[in-house]
Amino acid sequence: MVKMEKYMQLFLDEGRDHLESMMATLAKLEDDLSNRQHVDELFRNAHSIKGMASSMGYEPIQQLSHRIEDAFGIIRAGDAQVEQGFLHLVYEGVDLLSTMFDEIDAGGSITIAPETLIGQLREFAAAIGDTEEEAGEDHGDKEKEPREAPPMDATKEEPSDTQVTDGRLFDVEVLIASEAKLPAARGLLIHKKLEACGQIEESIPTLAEIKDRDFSDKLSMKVRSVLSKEQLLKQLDNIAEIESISIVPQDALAKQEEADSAATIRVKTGSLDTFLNLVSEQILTYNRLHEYLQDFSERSTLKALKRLKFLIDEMHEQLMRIRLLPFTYISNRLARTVRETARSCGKKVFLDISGEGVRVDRLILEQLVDPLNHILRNSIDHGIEDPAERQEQNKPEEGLIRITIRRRGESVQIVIRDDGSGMDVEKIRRRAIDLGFTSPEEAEKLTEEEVLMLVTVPGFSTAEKISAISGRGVGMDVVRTNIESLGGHLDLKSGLGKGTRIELNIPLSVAIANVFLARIAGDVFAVPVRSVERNVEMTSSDLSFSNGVPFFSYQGSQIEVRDVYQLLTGEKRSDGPNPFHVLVYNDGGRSVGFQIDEVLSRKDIVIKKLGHPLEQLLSFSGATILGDGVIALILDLENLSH
Amino acid sequence: MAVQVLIVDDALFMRSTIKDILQEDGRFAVVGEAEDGLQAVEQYKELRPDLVTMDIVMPNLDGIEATQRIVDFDKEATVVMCSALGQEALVMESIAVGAKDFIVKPFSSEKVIEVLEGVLDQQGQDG
Repeated sequence: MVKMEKYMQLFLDEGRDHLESMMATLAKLEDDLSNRQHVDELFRNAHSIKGMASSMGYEPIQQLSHRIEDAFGIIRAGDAQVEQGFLHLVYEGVDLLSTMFDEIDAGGSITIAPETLIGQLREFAAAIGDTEEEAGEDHGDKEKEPREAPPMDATKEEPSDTQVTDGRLFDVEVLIASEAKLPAARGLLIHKKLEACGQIEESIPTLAEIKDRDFSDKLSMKVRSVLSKEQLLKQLDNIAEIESISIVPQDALAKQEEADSAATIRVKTGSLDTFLNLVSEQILTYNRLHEYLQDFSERSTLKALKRLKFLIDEMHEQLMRIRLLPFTYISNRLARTVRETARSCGKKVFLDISGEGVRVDRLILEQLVDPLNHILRNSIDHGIEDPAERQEQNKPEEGLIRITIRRRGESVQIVIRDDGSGMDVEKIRRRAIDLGFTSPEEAEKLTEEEVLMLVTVPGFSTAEKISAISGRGVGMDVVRTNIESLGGHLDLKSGLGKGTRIELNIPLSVAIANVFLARIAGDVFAVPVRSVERNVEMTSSDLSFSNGVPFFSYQGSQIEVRDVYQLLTGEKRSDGPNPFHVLVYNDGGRSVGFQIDEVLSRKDIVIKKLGHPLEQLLSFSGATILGDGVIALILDLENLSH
Repeated sequence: MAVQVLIVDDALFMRSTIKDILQEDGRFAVVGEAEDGLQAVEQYKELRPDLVTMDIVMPNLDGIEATQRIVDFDKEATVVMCSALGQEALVMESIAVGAKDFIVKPFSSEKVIEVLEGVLDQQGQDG
C-alpha cells in the first residue's frame, strides 16, 4: 500500500483544478442545459476528485463527489434532463467540496458533513434512473484501501471478474540513458518505484530477468495504480539516468485526458519567475553592451546588436505572455459572486463581461478577485434595486452589471457599471461633514468626483445598517488600497438615478517600469513616471514659506515642497543646486512636490525587489541596475508623501 | 540549510573524493565519515544525517548489510550506494534491501550531484 501523505500538495492542487473546471462548466451548462459535452466533463471531474479523495482517505469528499459523479453518470448514459434545481445542488456541492479542500489545506480535518446534500443528490439520481451503489462506500466504512468502481463507460474493456481492481491501468515505458553504467540496476530501481505505486501486471523484461541482468535499456510495464498520470510521472521524474518516460493510461477516460492535455505542460510558477529574471538580466546586459559599443560605427556589429535586442525582446514578450492569463480566468468567480449575492438579496441581476480576452499577469489577476467581488456585492446590495422597485421605475426587472476590460498601453482598464440607483452625492457630502472628514466650507468646494472618492476613506459608510452582504468591515477603502498596492488607480462616477461607474486602471505587469532617473547629491534614484504628474524646474526664489515649510505655486494652488535629500538623510542640505527640479506627485487627492537636483533621463527599467531586510524601508519600492552598473533605488513617492 | 551527509567508505581516497565533490557544490555538509559498515550504522544512529553515501565492499560489515540495518532502524533513511563497475548484482541487492539510488566509480561530479539531487527531490516528496 502506498503512503498517501506525500501526495498532499498534488491532491490539493489537482483537486482544486478540477473544482475550478467544474465551476466553469456548470456556468456553461446553465446556459445550455442539453449540452452533452459539459455533462461529460463534469462527470469526469467529479470522478477524478472522488478517486484522489479515496486514495487520500478523505471520505466526505469521496462521498460527495461520488454523488455528483453518479448523477452526471446517469444523465450521461441515458436521456434524463439537466434541470436548474439539480444544477443548484451541484453548485452547492462544488462549494462544499471547495471548503473541504480549504479545511484540509489549513492543516485541519474536514468538519463539514454534507449529509443533507448527499441525500438530495441521491434522491435526484434515484428519481432519474438507477444509481450504482458502491460496496461499503455509503455506509461510512472507514476503509483505507481505495475501492473504486470502474468508470461508467460502455466502451471500457475491463476484465469483468470481480477481483479487487484498484485504480487504472497504465502503459509505462522507460528508456534508460545509453551512458548508464549499470542499466539493470537502474531498471530495478524503476521497477521498485512503480511497484510501490500500485500493481505491476506485466513487465518486459520481467523482474527476474532484470535481476539476472538480462536487460538492455528499455523497460515496458503495465501498472495498475490509483495514482494519476502526473503523480506517477512525479515518482519517476527524479530518477537519474533516464532518457525518456512514457505513461499512457489505458482506459476510455484516458483518451479524453490525453487529448485535453496534449498541448499543455504544467510548470511551476517559480520556474517561470526564474526564467523571467534571467531574461530581465539579459535585457540589462544588452543595455550595458549597447552603451559600451555605442562608439563602434561598424555596421555589422550594430546590426548584430539590433538582432540580439530583437530576440531578447521577443523572448521577454513570450515569457510575459505565459505569465499572462486572460481575464476569463477569474470571470467565473465574479459570476458566482453575482449569482450568490443576487440570490441572497432577492434581486435579479445580469452580469455582462466584455473584453475577457485581455491578458493580465496572473498574480495581479488573482489579487483583483477580492476587490472586484466587493465592488460587485456593493453594487447588488446597495445599487441595484429589487425587482418591484425597478418595475416602478420602468427599468427592466433584471439589474444589469457590465464589466468591460480594455488594454490601454501599459495598463489594463476595468470598468464596472451598474444601472442601479446610483450614489447620492449630497448625502455623502453631508455625511463627510458629520463625520468630521471635512469642514462645511471645504465640502462645498469639492467636485462630484472628489465627494464620491470620500467613500474610499476608512470609516465611511452611508448604509444605514451594516448590511450582512457588503458591510462586513471590508469597505471601499480596502478596495482602493488593494488596487493601489497593485500600482493601480480607482475612479468613481455616480449620480442619483444614474447608476454607478467604477473604473480601475492597473499596470499590466509589474516587472518593468517607465521611470525618470533623478540625481540627488551625486546619487541616482529612479522615480516611476506614473507617480509624477509634472517635472517643474525652478529656483529658490519661486518658493514661498509658511511656518518654515516651502511651497510653490502650481496650477492655481500652493503645493508643499519636500526635499528628498532631507527626507532620506534627515539632514538639511546646504549646498543644493539652484535651479533645481520639483517632481509633482498627486495621490488622487492632494499634490506634493518633491525636490531633486535634476532629471537625467526617462527610461524603462526592470524593477528588482529589495528583499529582506531592505524591503522594510518604506521610502523605496525597489531598485534597478542601470546601464553603467550603478544601482538606483526606486523612490516610493506615495510613502514619502506621508 | 545544508544537506547533512554521512560518507561511508574504507578508503580515505574515496571519502576525500566524494567529500570534495559535495563541498564544492556548497549545498552539502559532510557531518561524518565511517570506514566500515559497523561504524556506518553507529554513526547513522548518532548523527541521523539526511543522506548516506555507502561503499559496498568493506571490512567488518559490508555496505549491503549496513544499508539493511540502517533502513531497518530508520525506514526513511536515504542511502546511496557507491559501486564500481562489475558490481551490478551487488548494487541490485542493495536496492532490494532499501538503498534509494547508486553512483558508479569513477565518480564525475555532475553524475554524483545529479543522483543526489534526484534522491533529495524524492525525499522532499515523501517527507
